[in-house]
Amino acid sequence: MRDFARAVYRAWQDKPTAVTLPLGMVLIGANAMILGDRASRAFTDLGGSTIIRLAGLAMFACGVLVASGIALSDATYEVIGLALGVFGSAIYGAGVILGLGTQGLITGPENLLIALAFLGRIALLLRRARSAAREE
Amino acid sequence: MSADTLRFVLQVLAVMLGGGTVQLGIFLLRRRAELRQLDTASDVAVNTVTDSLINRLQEDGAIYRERVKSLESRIQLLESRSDAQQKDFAEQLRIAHEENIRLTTRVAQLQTDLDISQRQIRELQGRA
Repeated sequence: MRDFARAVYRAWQDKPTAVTLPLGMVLIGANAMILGDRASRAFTDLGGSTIIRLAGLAMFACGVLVASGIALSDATYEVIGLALGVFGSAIYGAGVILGLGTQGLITGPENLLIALAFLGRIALLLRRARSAAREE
Repeated sequence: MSADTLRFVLQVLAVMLGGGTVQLGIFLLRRRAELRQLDTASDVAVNTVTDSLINRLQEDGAIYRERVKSLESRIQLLESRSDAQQKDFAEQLRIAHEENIRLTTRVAQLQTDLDISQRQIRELQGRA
């Protein structure tokens, strides 16, 4: 546990942007799973309580997997976690846009951008893995 | 559009994105051998730009090494050819020299024979 905390702290120091968002999604996803559509007005309007719970589950799993990746020093977990984060953020962002219309045009695209950023990071990690493998 | 329609659209989107995510997950799982070795607690900048530069330099180096090799083999060929020619020339020179010696000896012999014959002729002329 202490090693995990130390690893997380070192990750926070070296790559804060890449770490904060996925780890934070543990709480956000748990929140979404517990509260369902009461956590977001967009989903209340749409009546999509299952979908927001699904997105919440994906976000929660994202955070847990990324944390495992940091703890076990295995980038596979991080990458799969990020993939789930893509799914969760994209669904939530789409839901915000569809549910709130023009009033969802800040938070909705913001979440879609998160999904895009996670995809970019997945590509980056794959590229790094390939060049690290080739150096040997 | 009513909320039901929008919810339906969202559900369709969810299914599509879910399928895409599953495919992505499988793709990533295939690459886990490479991914496992990355250091996840720090952003070690394995610089991909310098990596491609290094690759290009290595390829260039290989090309130049090929050229040098072919040039060296050509030089060797030329050298061996000139060696052979020199040897050939030396051989011919030796043969000519031997021929020269032989001819000189022969000339000397003939000269001696001629002198003898001339002396005999003079003797015969003197007696007659």
